[in-house]
Amino acid sequence: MITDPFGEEAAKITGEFGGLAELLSILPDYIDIEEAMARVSWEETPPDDVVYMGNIKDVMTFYALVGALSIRPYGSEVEEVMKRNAEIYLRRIELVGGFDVAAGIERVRSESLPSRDAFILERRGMRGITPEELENLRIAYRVHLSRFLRFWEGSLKEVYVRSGYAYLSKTQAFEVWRGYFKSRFSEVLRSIEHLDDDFYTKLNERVSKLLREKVGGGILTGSVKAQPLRFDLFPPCVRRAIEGVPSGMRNYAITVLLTSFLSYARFCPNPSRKDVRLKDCVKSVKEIEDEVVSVIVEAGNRCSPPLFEDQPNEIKNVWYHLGFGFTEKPSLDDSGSSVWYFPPNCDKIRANVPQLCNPDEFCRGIKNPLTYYLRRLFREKQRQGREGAGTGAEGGGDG
Amino acid sequence: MAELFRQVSVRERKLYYSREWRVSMVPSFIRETLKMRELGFDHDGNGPSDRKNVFYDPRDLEDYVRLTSPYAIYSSIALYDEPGEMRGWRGAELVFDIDAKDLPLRRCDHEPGEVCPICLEDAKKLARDTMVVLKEDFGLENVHVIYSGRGYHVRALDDWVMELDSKARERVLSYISAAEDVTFDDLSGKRVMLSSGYFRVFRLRFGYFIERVNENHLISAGLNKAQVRKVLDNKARIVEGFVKKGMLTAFPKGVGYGAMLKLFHLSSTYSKAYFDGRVTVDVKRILRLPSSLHSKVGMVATYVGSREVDVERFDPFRRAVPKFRREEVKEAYEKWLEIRG
Repeated sequence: MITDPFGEEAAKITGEFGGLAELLSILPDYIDIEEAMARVSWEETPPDDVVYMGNIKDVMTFYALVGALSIRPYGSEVEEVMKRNAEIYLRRIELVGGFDVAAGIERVRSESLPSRDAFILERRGMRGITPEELENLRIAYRVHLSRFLRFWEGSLKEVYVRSGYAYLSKTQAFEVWRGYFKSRFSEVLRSIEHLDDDFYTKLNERVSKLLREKVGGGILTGSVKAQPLRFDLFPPCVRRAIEGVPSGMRNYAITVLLTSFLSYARFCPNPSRKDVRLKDCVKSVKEIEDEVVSVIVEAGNRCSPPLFEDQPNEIKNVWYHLGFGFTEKPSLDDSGSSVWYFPPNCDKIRANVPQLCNPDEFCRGIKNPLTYYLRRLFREKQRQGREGAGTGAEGGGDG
Repeated sequence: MAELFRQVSVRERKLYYSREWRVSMVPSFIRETLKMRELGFDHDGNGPSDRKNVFYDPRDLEDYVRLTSPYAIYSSIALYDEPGEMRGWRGAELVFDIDAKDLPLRRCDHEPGEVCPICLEDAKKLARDTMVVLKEDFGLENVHVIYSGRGYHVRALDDWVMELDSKARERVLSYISAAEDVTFDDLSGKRVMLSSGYFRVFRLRFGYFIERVNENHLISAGLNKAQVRKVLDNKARIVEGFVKKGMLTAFPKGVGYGAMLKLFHLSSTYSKAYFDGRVTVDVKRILRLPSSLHSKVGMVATYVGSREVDVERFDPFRRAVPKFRREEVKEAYEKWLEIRG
């Protein structure tokens, strides 16, 4: 049973066909689209015929999907296909009772840890915990930190770290494996060169159609469009930056954080691609000056000492971060001369200016200040929608 | 008047680089990879504007430094295929920068932004604890501590940390600086008592905090007067029982979970500021070259060692003073001791 499409057994099969490129070129003759679709068209849990699929067919159907996704490697389907396939392999890992060595997740006995630590981590002696929960809490795996840091998106606080390893419960080990799978999947996806075969185009269309029907909805912030700024919904770090900050924090708070946050929040809350430019989102430089740069300058003036009096050249740096290059008087055509910086993630803000980060109740689960703002805008819109609907109904009754 | 720290003159720089400094004083972990590192120079005290220099032979560096006697010398923490172009990034040391002048919870009463022997002692303790955590928790073996002139650099060069990206470094920093809050669940689930991992680091930083905290800090954290008194009267017991052994019973009666969480939160708020996070996350940073003169304070950036005991024994006022300032620093140090009592 293949437990890892990037592991030893799968590599052996791929090798027998002469490598991945050769496998991709011949597999349309061996499998049909429906067999590959079976890997993604299930509902809650992967069906037995997929879980117990033969090794060769497993490798072929898996790489058929990867090949199909390589036509649009940044499409919205990638995430979902990745997720569903990860669950298939995790189901098998559960059945087999261990990971392929490629993932670097080793089995370990909790007896190898200091007994008091194992007792605490596994919550032994705590009331109200079911045997299943206890089993999930048991420290059963470890992974070297070099791999753990690559594949685990959460914090190091969540796991037990000792002598270069993160010790993991089953649930945590599965989460690390998901990160490993995602990372390897993306690497392989990027490595595939253009595939001519119609098979992949058709499979790509089928996957897109299926996932559009199944997933739909979009993410929570998906419907937020460019609109005037709502200062009352800004995250605490941005509000703090707007109030003005002392020397030592000014350049980061004003030039890096405010400039990127305000410009994206105002003009391009949902960038469709990585290399978006401000000139794609505005009609004139004046719009940017009036609605974003003016706020930045005022915030800079509230700093101690005032940023732009102290460092007159810093305004050029603001335009640089907006993508207009290092200039004081940009024209719209200059947009694209430098990168339009995206707001830094919360981790980065905390690392650079920890004093800015004073999370409120809306910060939970947020990784970027822009997401905070978009989420609050979205909720605000929902709330207004509900209130609006309520008022309408009452009005109707009165009439 | 003799001063512990003062800016040195151009003549003194020349004196240091011609009479005292030799390239063999640069630690071997830098000398051996010199041709893969970018070297930066500050010639006039306005910052390292002379960047992207490469020296293929340490003797060339020696000649150049003797000739120019720069205000400051820096070398990259990153190794490159083409260091002169900063291209072909091959990895970067994992660095923690502890600047004594920026430390919160000061035990001394001089102006902020200045440094005294007490601030340096505190920075040394933080550096030592950091080294311990890197070795014991992360299993690192190639860790070096450098006295930077106004603080300490902790530099790790194990192969796997050299490859970490900025995002991973941020998470390591968050762990090392115990920046994440301890929650009620961590307390009630006794995770805060664990002998290794994040909570052990947290307790180490909490130990540093509790030894320096005063009445005003505790009141601002939201503790009532009775709790403040109890915490201040039981500092040693808290350090011995909680910090070292992870026993929550070390907190005196009346300091319950609520008060502990307030204390823990305040400790984390401070511990975030012990390190300059920008240095840790920047994979192309240049750092003051060990053995070079920190011309602003008149001290030598000095290699301390790679063992805990090296750090504990290190005394910057004996080992990091250029010869031409020895008498002056000795006199100033004695005076400082007299004033401090």
